[in-house]
Amino acid sequence: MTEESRPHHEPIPEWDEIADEILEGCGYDPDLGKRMAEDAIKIANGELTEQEFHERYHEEVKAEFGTDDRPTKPEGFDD
Amino acid sequence: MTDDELTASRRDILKTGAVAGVGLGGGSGVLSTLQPADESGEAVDQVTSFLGEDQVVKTACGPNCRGDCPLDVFVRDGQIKKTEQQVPAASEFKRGCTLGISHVQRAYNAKRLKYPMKRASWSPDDPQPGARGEDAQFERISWSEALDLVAEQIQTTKGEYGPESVYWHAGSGSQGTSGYGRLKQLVGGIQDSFVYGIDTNVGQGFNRITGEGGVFMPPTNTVEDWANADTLIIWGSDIFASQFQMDAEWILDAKRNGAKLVVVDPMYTNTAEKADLWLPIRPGKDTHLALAMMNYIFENEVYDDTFLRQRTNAPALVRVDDGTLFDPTRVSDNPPDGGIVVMNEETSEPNVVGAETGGPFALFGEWTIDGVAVRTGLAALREQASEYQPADVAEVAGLSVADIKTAADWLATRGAGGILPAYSVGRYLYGHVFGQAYATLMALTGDYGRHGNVHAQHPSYGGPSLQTGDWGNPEGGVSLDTYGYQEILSLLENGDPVQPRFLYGTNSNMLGNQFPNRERWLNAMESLDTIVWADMYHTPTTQQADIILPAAHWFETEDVLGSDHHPNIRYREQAHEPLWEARDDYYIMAGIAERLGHGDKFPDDKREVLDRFVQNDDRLSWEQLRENGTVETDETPTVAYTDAFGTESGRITVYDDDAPTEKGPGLPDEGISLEVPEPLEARTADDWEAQNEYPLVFMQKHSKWRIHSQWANVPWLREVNREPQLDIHPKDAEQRDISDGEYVLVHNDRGSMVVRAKYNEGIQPGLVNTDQGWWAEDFVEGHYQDPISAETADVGRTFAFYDCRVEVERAAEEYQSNQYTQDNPRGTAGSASGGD
Amino acid sequence: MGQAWNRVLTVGGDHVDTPEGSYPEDGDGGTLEMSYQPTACQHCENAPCVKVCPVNATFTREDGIVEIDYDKCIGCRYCMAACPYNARVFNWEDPQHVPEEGTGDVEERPQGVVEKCTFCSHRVEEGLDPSCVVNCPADARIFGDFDDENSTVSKYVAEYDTHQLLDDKGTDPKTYYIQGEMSPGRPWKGKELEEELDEEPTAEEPADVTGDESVSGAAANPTGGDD
Repeated sequence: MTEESRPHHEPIPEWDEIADEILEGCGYDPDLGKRMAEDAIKIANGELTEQEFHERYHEEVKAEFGTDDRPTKPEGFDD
Repeated sequence: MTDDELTASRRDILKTGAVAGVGLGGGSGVLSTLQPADESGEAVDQVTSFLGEDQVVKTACGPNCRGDCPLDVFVRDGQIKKTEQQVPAASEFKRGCTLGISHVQRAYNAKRLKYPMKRASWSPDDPQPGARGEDAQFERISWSEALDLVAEQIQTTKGEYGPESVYWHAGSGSQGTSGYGRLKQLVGGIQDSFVYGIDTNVGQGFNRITGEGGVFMPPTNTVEDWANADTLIIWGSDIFASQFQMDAEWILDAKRNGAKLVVVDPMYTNTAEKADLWLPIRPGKDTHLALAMMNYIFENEVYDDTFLRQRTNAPALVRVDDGTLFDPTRVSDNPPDGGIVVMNEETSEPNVVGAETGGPFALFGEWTIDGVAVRTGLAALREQASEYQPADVAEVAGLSVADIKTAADWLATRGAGGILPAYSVGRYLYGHVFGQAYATLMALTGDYGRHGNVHAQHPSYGGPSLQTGDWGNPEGGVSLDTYGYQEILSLLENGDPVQPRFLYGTNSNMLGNQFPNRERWLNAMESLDTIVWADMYHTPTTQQADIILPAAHWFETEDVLGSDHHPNIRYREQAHEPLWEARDDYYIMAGIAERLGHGDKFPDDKREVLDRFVQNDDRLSWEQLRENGTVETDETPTVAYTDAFGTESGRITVYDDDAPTEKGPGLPDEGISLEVPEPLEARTADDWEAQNEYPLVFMQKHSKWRIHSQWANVPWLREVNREPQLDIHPKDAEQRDISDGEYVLVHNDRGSMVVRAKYNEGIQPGLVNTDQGWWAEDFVEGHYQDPISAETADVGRTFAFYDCRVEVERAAEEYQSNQYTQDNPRGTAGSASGGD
Repeated sequence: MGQAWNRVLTVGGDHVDTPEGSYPEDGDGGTLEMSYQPTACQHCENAPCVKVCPVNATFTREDGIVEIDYDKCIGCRYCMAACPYNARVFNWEDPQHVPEEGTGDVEERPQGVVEKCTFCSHRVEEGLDPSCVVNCPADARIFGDFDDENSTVSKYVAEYDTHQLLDDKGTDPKTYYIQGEMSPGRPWKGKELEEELDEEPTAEEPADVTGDESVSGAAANPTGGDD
């Protein structure tokens, strides 16, 4: 991986464990939560656009929560 | 909350584990009388903000921390909701700490006393003192029954054994107008006092050679002036943990103005962390260090010779043969009062000079006058200091030579200097010598009477004392014989010189906190037939009583209070009536007074008394007090020590010709005379007899989590500060196969306690610490006062809490199962409520 | 109880109020260091927690404060995983208070929702500083409006060396930590206190406050400008 493409957000070694602990038994898909968490930080870093983020998880969120009310919805995005 | 949740590595805050909700036991149930006045109960949930809907009550905190903080209490539906720091009239003294803003959980606390109670096994005819103790049971009685019993016991005891058998005991736990002093003078008896006994060393030593102050912290420039300091030495005080509301911001101001901050402490504290120079001194070596600094000042001739000539007895001529001052009448027919004989260098003749007089006086030298060999007092001091070379002291005290010299140099050469000692340095048997030593050191550097000089933490303000007329000295009152705390054991154990039989205790949790060698006190108190105790809480001390009287929380009283440590007279508006059957101490006193025939001396309504104070004091008006909460007074001079000193000569006696001779453990039988500071040590000495058996020095510092033993059971605070611990250096712990967090037995030949070991890289190897103020029931076994001796020295007469050696070992396996679980942060004992 | 919106972390040893490093034996060679890092919700400009909330319960207000609508929160805890500051807590149990009816002014948070520091939005709306600012005995915290370059916060951030936590993550917190050898502002003693509130709460629109609590470097750690 080149220096430029290395993600700026490198979770600390314990992150995985902490996230697992937080999400354990939350009643929703913990794996989805972890992936979204990581990608939300990539938005902050500018590695990912909100639109990409929204689209990437839209179906999964809808399936999991029955709705997707995230504020990242791009204008004109079709549910 | 666990430590894991409250610590962070330097780089990365993510490591702190997720915070899960912590269900907190205790506290509920007791508060059933506090249901919202709103009967629907629904409205409460729907309102999202009560801002502006609270009644703001002006009142004041009142423990013995020296903060004297005015507080705003927010009351809604008749209940206290929160506290905020109040802006007083002298607004720069807005202050208040974590404890002050946690008051709601002190007021509504599971350990509040609710009703008067009587020990079930006690009766006037058969008191059964042996049945006192942790298992004693209490039964509820009415106020009239309780007050009848107290009054009758006072009468019968006096009648049977004489007035001196009635013993009045008070601690320092509560400020307010109670009439306690008034009542005891009307009734008679004996009383105890901090003087001497607790924390009376440092001030005593300072006072001996300056004639200023008393036995506690001496006068100092007030905080407004501290920004003018160029060097501040905080000596043994963790100001930024336990005194910050009074002092911290002013010290930071001085730092911002360029002052150097030196901290002398064997522990790396919150305060040491702020220092430009931290001197990690070994316990008990404070006077050594002061002498080494004097040594540097002499060697480099950076003393203030003008000050020494004018305001000290440095130039006084001292006889070489017997160490007394040369007699002024041999030089002058009519010497001024307190005059000293000095050698005039211009005329080479001796002169007699009075206070505040400078001149060309020799500071060093030897002469023979009328056949008597003399030298100057300063020469004697220099000779003493020459024995304490920085290099030698560095080794003894565990310091670096350069650091000692830097501290001395900063104090002597950077301009205005200050030393802020703590009571801690007086918590050794001979700690008063340090008072003498630092007073002398500051005399060498001329640091009295100038802007930027500081001599103590938490400056006293004289102005805001209440003018209470004859309230404290009622007509027909008698003066009571007073015994220092250190003398009380002898009274109780041996009836020497008098035998108390009845005790009224108030404002004090001494048996849970500050009486050393606790078991000895508990046994000694069996000589008392009746112990009456008034308190807000069911403390380990009230548990030892026969009759318990529930006192009101401060916010439940109306009062007018002076302040010792800022220039505001304070008003307490009542936030609500005392809960349950608790009573303002005033009405307890009045009730006893009435039964003893002194009812006319206690008006039915306390406000009448307060009104007298207000009417008696031109500075006060009810309107101002009620409107603002405080009235500013500004009579305290900013700079202290501008006039002649309170000694006989009016000078600081850097050579104390009238010095006492100290005797006690570790000293030669004939004692040591203290003309100049002489480091005296008992149990901290390297050659102390039991030092191999008990190699660790044990201290009990003040923390930010409580004032003495108050706030001990505030759930918010207990979440962070869960249980008593032993700060121990990992090196000392590992040598003893003790892991971090294991329970340890801390013991010596006097007593022991079991607490959890807490690795602390910041505590000196060889020293261990348990923060002061934990109640007996918080310990798995024992108490921190159990291993501490109640012995005092001849001159010091002060309990030596830190002059204690112990050994530490891993506690037996049965103790390792933790009683302080996550779900029960207050320990198994925490669920015990007020004994009803 | 137990729901910490605002933790003062000891940066040092493994225990609260203990340093890291080695004790200077015989006066020399010590490396002890300790400082404090008050840590609450950082109110990020690019708040990851907001983006992951499937039901839009966590949202950013006009004035920049990140808040939670507890009625909407379904307790999935995705926001907790997304928050790099560990600023959020979950109500595992029914809330318990001492005294039982609670003490403060903020809305009740039921079991099953996530909560966190709100910068005391209920106070800010009334023109008051957050409670942590008002009550900090060391006056280590400063709150104000970054859009106003004359505000105290703006001046402090302009004058002193500051940093944001985990600034490499691009979250752009509105909380700055001030470094350097200095003492903090003077005690707050005027209009910022609740007792000064008009009897009727002001109906003003929330000020365009982008908050700042400045901390550690200021009072909590005036000498510790090196972390």
